[in-house]
Amino acid sequence: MMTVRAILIALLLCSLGSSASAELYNEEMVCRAPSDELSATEYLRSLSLDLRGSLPTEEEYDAVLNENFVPDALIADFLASDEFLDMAVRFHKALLWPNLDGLRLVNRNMELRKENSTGLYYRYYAGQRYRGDRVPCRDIEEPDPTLQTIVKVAMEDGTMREGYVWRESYWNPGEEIKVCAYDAQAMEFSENGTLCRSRSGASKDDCGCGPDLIWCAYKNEGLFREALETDLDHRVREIIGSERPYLDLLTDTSMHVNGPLVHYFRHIAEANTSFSMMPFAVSKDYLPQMDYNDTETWNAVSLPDHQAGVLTSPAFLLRFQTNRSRANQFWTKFVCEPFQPPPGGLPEAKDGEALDPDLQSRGGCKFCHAILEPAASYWGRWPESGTGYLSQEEYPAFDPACEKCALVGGCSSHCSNNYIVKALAPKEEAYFGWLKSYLYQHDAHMANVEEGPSLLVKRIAHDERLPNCMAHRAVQWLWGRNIAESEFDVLSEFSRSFMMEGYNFKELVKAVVTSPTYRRVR
Amino acid sequence: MSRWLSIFAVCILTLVGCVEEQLPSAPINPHTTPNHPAPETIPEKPTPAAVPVDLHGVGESELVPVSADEANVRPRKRMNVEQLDRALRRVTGGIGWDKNNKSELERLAATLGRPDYRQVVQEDLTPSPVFLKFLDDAARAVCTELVEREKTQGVEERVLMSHVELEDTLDSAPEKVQANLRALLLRYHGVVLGDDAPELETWRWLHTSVVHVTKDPVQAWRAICIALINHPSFYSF
Repeated sequence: MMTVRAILIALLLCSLGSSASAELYNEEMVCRAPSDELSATEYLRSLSLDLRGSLPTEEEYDAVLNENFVPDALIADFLASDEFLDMAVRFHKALLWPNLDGLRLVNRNMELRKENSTGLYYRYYAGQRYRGDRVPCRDIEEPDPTLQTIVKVAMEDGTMREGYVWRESYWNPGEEIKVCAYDAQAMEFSENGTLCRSRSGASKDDCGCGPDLIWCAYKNEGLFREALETDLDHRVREIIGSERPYLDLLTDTSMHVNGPLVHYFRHIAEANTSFSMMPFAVSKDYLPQMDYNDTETWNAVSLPDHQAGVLTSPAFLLRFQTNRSRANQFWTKFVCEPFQPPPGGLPEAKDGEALDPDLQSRGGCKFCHAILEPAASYWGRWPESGTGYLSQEEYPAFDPACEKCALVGGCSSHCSNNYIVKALAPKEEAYFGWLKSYLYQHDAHMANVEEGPSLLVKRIAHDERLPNCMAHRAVQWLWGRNIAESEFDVLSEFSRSFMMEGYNFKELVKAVVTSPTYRRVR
Repeated sequence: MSRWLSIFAVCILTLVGCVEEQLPSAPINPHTTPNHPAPETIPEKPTPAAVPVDLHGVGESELVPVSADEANVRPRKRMNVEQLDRALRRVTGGIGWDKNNKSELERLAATLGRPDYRQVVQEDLTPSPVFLKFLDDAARAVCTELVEREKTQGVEERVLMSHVELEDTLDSAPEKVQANLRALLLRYHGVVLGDDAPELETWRWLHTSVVHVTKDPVQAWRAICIALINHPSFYSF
């Protein structure tokens, strides 16, 4: 074993090579550093790994050996493959950071658990209210399966427990399970008129999980999360696979849904308490009929014009829950202008600047916020910690009622959630009654709020920052490094050809991998 | 120093355009309805001062240009976890580093640099000692399984010993061993070598040495399989 290890080490050292001068007496024993220029087969290997994520096949090697170069048709095949779309998805994960782990998509009061010993399904947290503790009901069938009345019995441990009824579940239709009576209730409204599947309904004793338990989650929060994340992958696949202009990825109005996601938006999202699901990210009118268990079929849903592709997708809005963080991610990844202090730190604030409540003017802060605030305003009609769209009809830029309540008190949740009704500084009082995203915005930026991220995309595409940045990102991916100053003209060429080819992402990738630099490896 | 100054200058130029576009000409007048307070009580309109554009720039970032001596050539890139997993299966004809039908590389993905985009947002593709350790583990596992499989296969089915009989050595069948080595270097590293290429010498030496130590040519091919996978030309491109 030691011998093999020693041989391996020797081989590795040898492979790393030295740059000894040529013509040594034992030349045949010397491991020369390989040439910078890739051979045709090495080039094929790199292309295959970058564009498909796998090594070439023997047939592909043979084809290249016969020609002694990589035919354009082979590169075209790679770019047309499904595997390339996997690589494109991977590339975009690095831009969009789609990870919703830890995010609560389900109201805990509407979450079912199963007691393994009895097979009883019950709401663990909600049970505290009507049983006195987080416990299941009794393993005795409820006398009235229609649940006109629920009989509770005082237990020795001080809890009050009802029996169970048999019900079918949406996740396993056709099989009846034992569901605790309180949790099996199926009325749409509570006695006092509260919608049972809503946030308020989740805390009403006379609201249950609905027919077939559709308003409750059972071990499927991860499925919903994954579906929201996968929607982004499908958007990337569709736009790049069909060679539509790349800008469509950032402005398109369609979303992709599968069975669990349709179920989530239709039945479960409304009760969520961790973030605002109202207004809905996807109106129920747009949702197709899909079987809950259909996880593999993805249907494109066409949404209203205010949508801006991945930038207003639920996964992006929930991953980046404030408008500043949304703008920051976009500016960093798609504009290539990250918000960072200059070398040596921020300049000192001048007299009076340090106390300015407007971050665009406050000393130090303004270094980034003079750009960040207007940038964030493009998401001004997308609520922070929410996924819906604040339409101009329901949420006008200025609401006199909200201004009035700001001055005299008694603001509704409509006003306090969405409008400026409190001033943290006297300067802010001028904005009473305006949508929160209008705070300190300037005339020039009002259109940002109303037009949304689509306008932002058009602007940075028009001034070429988007194509420049995407060219830079493609170089980072495929060359494995940043651009050098001496290569700025090459970057411009990539960017121009990207635009000239109608923002065709595949053409951009092709330009980068067929560049001389890609073929020179050190 | 001059490099950083020029980088800073470039970044400033980039941001200047941005700032000029973003800065407003005038603040909005937020009050447009009769419900606002009497004029004398209306606070002064917000009038943020224009931000001096020369304050802007970017410091160290993932976008800072590389030095001039790195221009016109790209560095070798380490395979990511998926690429490595697929590459192992391709060169071995379907054998991956699996335990209980699950990929060990997938299990170790976070350790091997895959970001989760929550706590780690940048993929780490450095060929670190940890990566090389697990690569070696993977190589030993797949190559051992591969030679065991090939011992029971005919030469036309094999992918490791595809040009040799199990007992062939450089002494007994030098041309076959040489041809096998060349085929493996194409399969594993994508390189084409002539019979007299100096790069082949180290592989011949490895084969001879292992045969000398173990008296078993199959073990020599196992060692070559492991060495080929551990070689930078396999896991980088």
